[in-house]
Amino acid sequence: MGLVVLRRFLVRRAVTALAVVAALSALCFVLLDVAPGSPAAQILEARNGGRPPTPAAVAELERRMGVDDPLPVRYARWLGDAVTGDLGVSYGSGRPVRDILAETVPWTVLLTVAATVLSMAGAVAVGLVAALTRRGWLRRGVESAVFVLGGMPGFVTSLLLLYVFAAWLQVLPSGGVGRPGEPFDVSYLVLPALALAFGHHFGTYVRLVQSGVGRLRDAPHVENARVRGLARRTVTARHLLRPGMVPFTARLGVGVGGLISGAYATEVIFSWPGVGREAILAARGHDYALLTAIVLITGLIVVAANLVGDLAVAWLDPRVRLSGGMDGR
Amino acid sequence: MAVEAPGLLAVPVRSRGIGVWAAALLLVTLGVLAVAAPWLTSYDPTATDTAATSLPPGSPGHPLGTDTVGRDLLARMLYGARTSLLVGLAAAAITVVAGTLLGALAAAGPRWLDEAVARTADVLLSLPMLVVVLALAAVIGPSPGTVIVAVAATSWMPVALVARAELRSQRERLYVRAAYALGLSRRQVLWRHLLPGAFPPIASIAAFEVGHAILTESTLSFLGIGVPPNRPSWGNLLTEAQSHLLTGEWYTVAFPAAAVVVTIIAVNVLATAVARGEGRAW
Amino acid sequence: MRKPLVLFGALAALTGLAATGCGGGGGDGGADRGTFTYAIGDEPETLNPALQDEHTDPVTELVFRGLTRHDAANRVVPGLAASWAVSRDGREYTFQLRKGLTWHDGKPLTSRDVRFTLDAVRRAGADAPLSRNFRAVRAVETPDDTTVRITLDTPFAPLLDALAVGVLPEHVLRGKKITDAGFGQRPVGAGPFRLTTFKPGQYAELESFAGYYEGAPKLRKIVIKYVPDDTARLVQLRNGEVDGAHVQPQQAAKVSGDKDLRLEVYPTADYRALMLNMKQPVFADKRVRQALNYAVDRDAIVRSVVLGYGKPATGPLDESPFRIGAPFRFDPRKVDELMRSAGYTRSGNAPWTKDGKPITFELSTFAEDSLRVAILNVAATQLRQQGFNVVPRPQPREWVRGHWGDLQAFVVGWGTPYDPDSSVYGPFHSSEALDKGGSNYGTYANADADAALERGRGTLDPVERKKAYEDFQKALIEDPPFVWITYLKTLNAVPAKLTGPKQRTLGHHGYGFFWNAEKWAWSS
Repeated sequence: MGLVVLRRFLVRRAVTALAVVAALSALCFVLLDVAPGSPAAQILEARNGGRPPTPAAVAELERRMGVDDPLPVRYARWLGDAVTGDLGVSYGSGRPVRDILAETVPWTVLLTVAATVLSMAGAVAVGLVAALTRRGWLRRGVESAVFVLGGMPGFVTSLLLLYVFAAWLQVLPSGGVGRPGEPFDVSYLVLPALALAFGHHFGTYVRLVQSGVGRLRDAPHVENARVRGLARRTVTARHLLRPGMVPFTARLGVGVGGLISGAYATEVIFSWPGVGREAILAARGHDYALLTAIVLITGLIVVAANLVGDLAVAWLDPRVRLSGGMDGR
Repeated sequence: MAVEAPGLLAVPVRSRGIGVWAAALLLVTLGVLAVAAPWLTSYDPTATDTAATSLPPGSPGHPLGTDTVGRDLLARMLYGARTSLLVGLAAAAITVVAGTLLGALAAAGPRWLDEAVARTADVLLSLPMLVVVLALAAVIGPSPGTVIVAVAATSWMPVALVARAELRSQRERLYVRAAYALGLSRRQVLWRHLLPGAFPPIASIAAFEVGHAILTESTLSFLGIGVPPNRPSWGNLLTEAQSHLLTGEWYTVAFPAAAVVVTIIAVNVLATAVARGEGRAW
Repeated sequence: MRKPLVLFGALAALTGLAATGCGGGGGDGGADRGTFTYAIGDEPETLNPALQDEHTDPVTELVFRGLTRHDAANRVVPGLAASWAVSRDGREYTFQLRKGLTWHDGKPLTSRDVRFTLDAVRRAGADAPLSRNFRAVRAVETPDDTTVRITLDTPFAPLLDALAVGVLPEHVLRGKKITDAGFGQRPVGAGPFRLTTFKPGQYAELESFAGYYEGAPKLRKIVIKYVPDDTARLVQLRNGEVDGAHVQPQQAAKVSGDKDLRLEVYPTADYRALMLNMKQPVFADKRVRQALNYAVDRDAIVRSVVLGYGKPATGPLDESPFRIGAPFRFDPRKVDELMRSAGYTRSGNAPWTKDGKPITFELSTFAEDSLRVAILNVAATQLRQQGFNVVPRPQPREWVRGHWGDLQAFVVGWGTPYDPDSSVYGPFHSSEALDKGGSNYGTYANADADAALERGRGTLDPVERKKAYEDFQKALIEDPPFVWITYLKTLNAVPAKLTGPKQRTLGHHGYGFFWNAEKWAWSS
């Protein structure tokens, strides 16, 4: 593909991404505004140790927080600040949103990347086996296993892993990211990453690989390559794996979005200090500033993953035309 | 096109026939159990009985035992099936109808409408479902309706994309052109020729969507933003039982977990069969 | 394919580490390192004691000290203040600070810090719920470095109790708002433990403070780990990732069965009750409200909902030295008698009826709170059996916040182990009614209760105070605002070889478990 095409594609994608992010933040702001409840009540309730604050105190704090202003005013104020990198202050803890994100986002990214890698590697391996094997029992076994996984809600998988590896076998730690006071320990990543990687979407991934590769298995040009005497490995890598990965790679962006969703429950169960826990608390507490920022950053991550997916597809299959719209997927 | 429908029906008798029949039988049974719940148990699923708390399965009068406040677990499982299956089916139905309509509008409507649908889909695809659900739950409060709306709002996009793509590809086919040539109006063509043609791939998505919706219900209830805790649903039963995971009362976790997992698997088996019959991977 | 290769490498490394690494991080019990690691579910938004209520989370409790503090019987004893004198009219308090007090950063703690704290809390207004305790304060003076004089407009008996609030360092907070987020994350106090690390969502690490006025605590380090999931907490406890943990009643058996652990079960002053909205005509007759109090089987609720880890409640001060006995217990005959005297009739299992209308009300609570929902369900079932047509309707927290006035009946939680004033004046005095912006959500109004509450607050004479709260409780028995249900107990698992934890009636969430942590130690 030409550089010009690529640049035009990237620009279009960037514009789309910006539009997506702006739309997301506005949507989030509006949704939370029509929602009942007040952040001031939430803050004071936290300070009261969970007991309801007095209506008088709530009213006074609301006035002071400026949540009385009309919605467009607050949104404009927030947008103006956001452009300059100031994402505001969390209503809940009074801390800068930027600090909270800086603390939590890397953990979620780490977990999501690890899970994506595990998931993709697993899907490719399992999908290849299922697509290429001539042994019926093996294929059926793999398909059945994938089906069972596909029926497991993420939190059930998480609880099961927690039970087996942390509680019963006691070979892996059950939560957190390391012993307190010590740096990050990879062993803490294993269970949450596994739980997230082999959740219900895994079946979809395997099926995508299986069908992508399976469709090509008996195609004339592949048969031709085999007849020409190319090594089996070469045939698999060049003629099956690479093009067979296309439908799967194209789903990367959507898949990452799903993983981040799944990460919420996983993070709670494994005490993973990521953004998912913050998001749930923020939504419950009507912490506009924090929640909007979280929506924004997750949107950006997914948009980025989409972009990576598109580029990868283009690289895997030169026939695919890059485009900015949804035809690309 | 004509061979498609028999193909669909012919699926069950293929090699994986037994599995498909078993899945269908299981789902029908579950459906019957859910519908007939009031006649199958005399217990009110929310009525507590402090004289019969924490009974193990097999106790007289309580085949699945009771929970810590003496609610009959069988009754809760049966009524839970009602909620969970209802949420699953309703969410899938709304997803499919809304998705197909939007996809059809995008394919058949003016260019700006197509753009609008496509961009909205883009935005929603970039938004993890839970974020949308959290916001929705805050706005309309946790209820089965919230879960249904939330699932539909975050899942219609693939349906719309498929519907749009199918419609577009079929628009150019001969029989559609012929229909136009015969003087049928745009609407007539859409209803008589285009939508029926797009139905099989959408049916397979719809089937998966049922499983997805049941799964989502349980996850949301687990996170405390789904079906209100007082209404039994499999997700809520799981949430309540979760702290018993290590305390010997494993069955309080096992029953609803098994119900969710088995149902979704059965739904997926059927969905795959539908997809196979239609000649696609999924 | 270079990138995927890197990824596969990472994957291999990951699984390799998983296989070889870490025996669960367990095993090495804290004893060897002098560290006590404790897992808890709730995490505070801020570690600033002025922004919490009187029940503070463990970290805040360990980091800060107030002028006064509470002993095992929840009596007020000297904290940073060595002694104090109260003027005869109860309007002037003079405190003598201990000599040589220092902050965790080494700076001396003086009377000016105390003045700064009280002024900041009073100025904070709505930002600091505790400011309600200092409304009567006219001035805080500091004649010298170790003397603080507080003058009041009117006598306020709970003041000594209220001064248990942690003193804030002026040199750190000067010129900043009391809500300063930096201070809330990296607080400087004068308590027995110094905060060395705070990672929100993960843990807080505290170190024994050598400059503490009673000498350095024996435990070298305490780590408070935030583990919101109940099951995960038990797992970490059992595989040695943490030494101690807050546990749920249904997990008690697992802990009791472990010989390396000891289960500490403490009472709390945290009760649950059904608040009745007095604006609802159905509750107009106090005999109906009395009957409701005889219609619930509290023992059965305690046995089932909290598996015995509770105590049937009959009033708001059951766990206070001021308690008097109340007659409420499960008694269907009494229900019958009261309802008939109120003009209701009942045939068979049908509900009580008056003027052809059955007695019906909705019982609500926060849907997110599983304990309250369980109480709601059991209570509703019991009340239905006694002829009250109760409709259970849990509502989302957010909805409730906007609809306090529309609720008919609601499962509430109140109670304090400290001075009674702070948890009975707000919910029961008519001047604190919902419409007036207070926390009397049921709009309860009883002239006798009002008068007694005012006397209890305004007099320092112990005998008179006792009489006042006696009268208050009598008024509540005669004219019940709530249907009292149960006090909760709190369960904590600690290592068998940890010595020092001592029973005390704790606050809500079971906060206060670390109240004497400076005396804890490992037995050899």
